[in-house]
Amino acid sequence: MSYLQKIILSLLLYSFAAAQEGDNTNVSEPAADADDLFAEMQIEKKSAAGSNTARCLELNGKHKFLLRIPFLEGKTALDGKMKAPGFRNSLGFNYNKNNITVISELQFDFFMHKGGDWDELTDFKVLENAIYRNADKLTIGAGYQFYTWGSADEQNPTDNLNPLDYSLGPDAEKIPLLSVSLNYFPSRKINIETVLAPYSQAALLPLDIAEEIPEAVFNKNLISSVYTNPANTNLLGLPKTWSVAAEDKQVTTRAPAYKLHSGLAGARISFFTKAADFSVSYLYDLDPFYTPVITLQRYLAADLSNIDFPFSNNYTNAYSYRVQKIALKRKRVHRLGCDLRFSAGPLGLWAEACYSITEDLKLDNYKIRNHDLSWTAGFDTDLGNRDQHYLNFQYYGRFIPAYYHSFYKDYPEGQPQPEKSGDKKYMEKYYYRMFTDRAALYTEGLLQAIAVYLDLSFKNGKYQPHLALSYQLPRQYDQQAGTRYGGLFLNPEVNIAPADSFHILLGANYYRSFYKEKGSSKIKNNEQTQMGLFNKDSAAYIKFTYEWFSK
Amino acid sequence: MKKILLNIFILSALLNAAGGRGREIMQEHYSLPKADTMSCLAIMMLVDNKNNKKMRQLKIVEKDTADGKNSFIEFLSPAEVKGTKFLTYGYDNEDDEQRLFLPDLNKITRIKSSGKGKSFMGSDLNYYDMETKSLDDSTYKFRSEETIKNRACYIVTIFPQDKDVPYQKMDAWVAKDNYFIYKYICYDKNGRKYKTITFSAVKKIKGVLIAARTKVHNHLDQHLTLMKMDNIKVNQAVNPAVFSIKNLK
Repeated sequence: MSYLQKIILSLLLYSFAAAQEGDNTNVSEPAADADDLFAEMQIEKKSAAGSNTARCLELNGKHKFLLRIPFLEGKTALDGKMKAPGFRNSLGFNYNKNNITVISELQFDFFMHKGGDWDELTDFKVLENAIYRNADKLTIGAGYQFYTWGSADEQNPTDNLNPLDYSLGPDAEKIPLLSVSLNYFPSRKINIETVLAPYSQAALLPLDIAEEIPEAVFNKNLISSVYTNPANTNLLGLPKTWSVAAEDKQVTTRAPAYKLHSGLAGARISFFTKAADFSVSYLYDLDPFYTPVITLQRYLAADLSNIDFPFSNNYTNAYSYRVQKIALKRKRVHRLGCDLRFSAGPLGLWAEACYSITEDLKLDNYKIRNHDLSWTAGFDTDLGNRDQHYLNFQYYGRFIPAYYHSFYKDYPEGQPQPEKSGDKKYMEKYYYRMFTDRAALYTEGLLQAIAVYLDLSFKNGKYQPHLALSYQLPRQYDQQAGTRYGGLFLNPEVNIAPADSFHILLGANYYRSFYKEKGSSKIKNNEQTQMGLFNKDSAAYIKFTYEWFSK
Repeated sequence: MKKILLNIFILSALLNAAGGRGREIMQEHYSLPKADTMSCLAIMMLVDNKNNKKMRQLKIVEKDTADGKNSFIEFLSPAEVKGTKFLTYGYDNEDDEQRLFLPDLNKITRIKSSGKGKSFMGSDLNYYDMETKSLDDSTYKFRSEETIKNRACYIVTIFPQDKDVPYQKMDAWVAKDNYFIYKYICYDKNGRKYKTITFSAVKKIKGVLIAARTKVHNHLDQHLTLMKMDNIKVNQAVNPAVFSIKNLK
């Protein structure tokens, strides 16, 4: 054996010998501490009674303190639920016996309004209140229920069963729907869900549409003089000066008939396969937004005996039309939805879309808003060396086919042409074009947006900074009035979780749209858009939340 | 030249022997009787470096199938995670199907099967730690022998082959008498000592060895996770409906 071989063998033998002694640095920590901790861990057997065969009554509660700090100049008043400080509670019980579950949950809000009147503090709402019967392949539910359709994260265009409450902002909360539901699972891979609601409930919209209708359209515009010798002969005989006779603003909100035919019905089939989850759905719905039904009144705009001009017998401009009354009604909408979710490597991917068909089936009726297509597509992934952070990116939007965006081109400065003001068809079209899309909060034919959500996690989830950002860009809108550069939503937040189920949230919501009126160089906020509408509610916030349950 | 080659041959032979022996030991481990079904209640304690504690109580049900292992986990407490459910359809030779039910959103969502390094519900266990592994997932190298808590063990270094596994390697303490693994030390992708996982209160239930207590010490975050299992039932009939989308809702 050569010298080199001896050295190598010696080294190997030494390393074997050294390994036999053990690596003392790897001996586990003193057991005493771990034993003490294990002794503290007592499993509550009662908590295991979550199975459907057990009998179990559980009480639960969620509590949230909210303090908002508005920071925009001139908008620091604490008006409205989005800024008023307050306290929210939800209390409920959950009883389970022999595959029957009863859930009852109520919400009590105590929001401080201006003046701080004690007897105006309370706001009481019904949340989930339903009975469920769970059989082998079938679950039946009846009562006030919450539904979640769609597999996309954050934005769900197909999730339209529950009406929405926008009083706390664009991230609307669901209103429970009084309904009967059937969930049938014919196999492991298929779910068929049907829902029937006897009466369609109203949403709480971010705007009071009735308030938005200007009083001016109800007034009579009385002609007091006409052009008699203008340089432009086209103006000869046309109205020159007016006076306004005010009339009552008559706007009524007409609730759907309180009958079963005002209900809604939907069905969804979902498939859960190895490759992907996907579903298709149909919802026979009532539009949550209003359609105006306008009644016009013909009136004598010009007393020809008092106007110095040789009018012909065919002069019709003596008459005009005003809005006598507007009834806001909810019309039928058919919604066709689909969604898909799968994963590819480190990415979770999804796509979801919903096509809503209004009663204007051929898109040729200016009295009813057009159909719309809403969609979202996105992905999520984990970041960090231990996948402890989370990123979600989405592209979403809405397209309205044949959207009318020429109002200011057809009606300069938003006014009807004086020589046609006596034409009923013309005036009717004018008023409907003014209100129909506005009542549905339609402000553009194409809205595209991106949204990014970033969740970070530090100290094993004790500190969780979060950032949500969304930017919306409109297209196919009436550019005669001005230029819209889009809208922005920003929500930075830190979630501190010092104890189980107790969180301190510090953050801010900022909403802003960017708009330049025609002829102006200044970019300002546009309250006619979703982001612009909530600009006044931008605020920093502090929230304390706690939830509990007891069996 | 011949002498150098001989030395290299001797060295590699010795190394191969170590690897071969490592694989043999792990083969004995993977040959241990496994449970066709297992259910239990478990409680997890999460302890940070300031001794702040959080508890998680969960129900676990597992069942072996021809394709792989299915599992259903439901969180029973605290309130903020109560009702969260995981359903996994395991496939031995493919990515698992994993779905999650979030009670606050009332939504079933499919989750991506990669992200093995992601923490399981804020604990020091990650999704890879929770997975069922098989012999061919890794290569092995016998290191040495050591006695821990009066139990003689082989120390085998495990080198996972899947690049998504969050560890560069793991040292496993395999008991000589029953080939059960009583301890792991896991090293991250940079070779740093990441965590130590120890198993205790090992019981034999219907011929299957199960550790009723698990301790995970995260050396990088100075954080501890303790898991205690109770009411362990092995090879008892489990309703297949447990592993269904319906049970998630």
